[in-house]
Formats: sequence, C-alpha cells, structure tokens
Amino acid sequence: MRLLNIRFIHVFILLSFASGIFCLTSCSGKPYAQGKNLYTVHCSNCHGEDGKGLKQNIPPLAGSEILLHNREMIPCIIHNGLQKPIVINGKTFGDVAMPAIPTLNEIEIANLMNFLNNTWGDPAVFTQTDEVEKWLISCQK
Amino acid sequence: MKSCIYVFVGISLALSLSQCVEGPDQLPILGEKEFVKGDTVYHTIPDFSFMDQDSQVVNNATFTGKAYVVDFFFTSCPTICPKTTRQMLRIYEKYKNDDRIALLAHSIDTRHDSIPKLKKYADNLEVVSSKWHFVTGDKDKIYDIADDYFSIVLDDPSSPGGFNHSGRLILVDKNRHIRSFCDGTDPASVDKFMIDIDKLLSEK
Repeated sequence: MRLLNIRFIHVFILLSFASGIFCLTSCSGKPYAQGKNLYTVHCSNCHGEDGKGLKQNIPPLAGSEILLHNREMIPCIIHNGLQKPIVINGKTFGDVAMPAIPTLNEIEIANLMNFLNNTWGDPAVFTQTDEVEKWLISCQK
Repeated sequence: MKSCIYVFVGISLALSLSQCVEGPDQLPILGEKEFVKGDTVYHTIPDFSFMDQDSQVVNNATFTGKAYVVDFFFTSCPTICPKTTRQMLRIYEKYKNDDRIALLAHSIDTRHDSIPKLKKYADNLEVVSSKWHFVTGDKDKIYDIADDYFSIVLDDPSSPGGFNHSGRLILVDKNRHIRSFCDGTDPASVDKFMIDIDKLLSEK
C-alpha cells in the first residue's frame, strides 16, 4: 500500500510540474511578445502605442486594411521605407516619408506582422516566415 | 494654559484655511536671475522673427498678452517628434478655444522644411494656423533661440534624421518669462505640464 502511495505522489508531482511548465509557456496570455517588442522599438514612435498614427501625417495601423488585404506590401515597406503616397482606408498619406528599417530579418518581420494582426487586424490571419521571404525577394528597390 | 492652546490652534487653523482661500501657488519664473540696481531681472525670451506655414511673420508681438507653448521639431523626424507633436496636439485640443494661449513649433530642418511643407504638415494635423504656428527662418537664429528656451538642438549626421534635439515643451508667459517645461515624449509629464498651464492662465 505504501509503495503505491509513493508512486502516486511521484506521478502527481511530475504531472503538476509538467502542466505548470506548459501553462507558463502557452497560457501566459501574451502572444507575439517578440512582435510587440519589435513594434515598441521600431514603430511606436511614429505609429503610436495605440497604432493610430498621427492624423493625416502618419497612417494608422490599427484597423488598417493593409493588414488584411495587402499583407504582401508590408515587408517591402518595412525593409525599404516608403517615399511615395499610399492609400490607407480611403485616405492618401504622402507628405511624410517612412524611413527604411533594413535591419529586420524575415522572422522578425513575420513576428511583427502577426503582432499587428493579432492586436489590430484579424487574429485569424497568420503570416509565415517563408511568405515574408518571398515578398522581400520581389521588392522593387 | 488652556487659553494659550486655544489661541494656538485657532491661529494654525486660520493660517491653513487662508492657504486654501488664496488659491493655487504661483508658478516660479525659471532661469537665471540678475539683480540690477535693486531690481530682479529674470531670464527673458529675446526678440525673434520667423515665418509660419501661412507665410505670416511670427514674432514676439504675435503673442502679446498671451502665453505660448514652444517646441522644436522637423517634419521628417523618425524618432521623438511624432511623440511630442502628439502631445502638442493634446494641448491644442484642450485650449483650442482659449485665446489666452497659443502654440509655436520651430522647424530645425530649415533646409527641407519649406513653408509649403510646413503648411501641409500643419494642415494634415487639422489645426488652425493662428493658434498653432509652425515656423521656419534663419537657421542660426532658430538654433540660438533654442538655448533661450532651454532646448537642445544640434546638427548631427549620426542621429536618425540628422538632428539631435530635446523633446521639451516650454511654457512662456505674456512677459516673455519661462514658467514651466516638460518632457514632451512622456504623456504623464505633459499631464503635469497642463496643470501648470491652467495655473498660469488663472494668474491675474
């Protein structure tokens, strides 16, 4: 009887430990933490911590149709910046150029895009690293 | 003995109540002071003349009888300017209909921030020029007056955008004295700054 109890306790401890780790890693409630950090460092100064931009000078990312319908444009815009006008949700933004951020790799860009969609677009939309790689290759310089 | 205590308590109460009745403390006048022939001479904003987004001359007379909030920025700034402009916008919105205060933004990129560019930038913010002036002018004069406004402005090719500058917002009263400043990149700092603006505006 005692042996059974000890074994039971061991299994119980192991299971609790395992589920604890599982919860810590996946139930932390902070998806795309890396994407969020990248956003804070590289994007939030201009596009705002709320993603709303700066009136007609800097476009919003929050609710922007580009996150849903023109995702393929995003890696190039991040990598090369944007020196020509762009239409976002029916409004034209062309008076303030966006600087290039060539230092981000395809994994970081994918993380960033997934953070954007998860927070301000469609959480069901998921961007893969190889998609970003493909879109970056076809960038017009 | 007892009557002494009553008197003491009575006076203390009266004194503390009088503080409440007097109203909020006055903002100090900031900067160095000089004592000239028995008078205190405070740090004063010197004469200036710049041109705003409507090609109107903006000088000290533009702000006669008014307080004004100052910052230094440039339109292609990739770092702190969008943040400080966002905060200036908060101030603009709050005091939009209050004629006792105006806003003055100096461009430190006199080469690229032409008047048409400043006009587009200001119009894109949906603000009224006579309330929020975006000015350009002689580069040296803008950089010199930044010192008088306790702001740092430097040409720095190694900085993002090519300029290094502080994100300070400065509050000037109708006597050309500086009464408050804050970190325009920090909304909490600007919250306190707006309390200072209210204090200044309630001064006689």
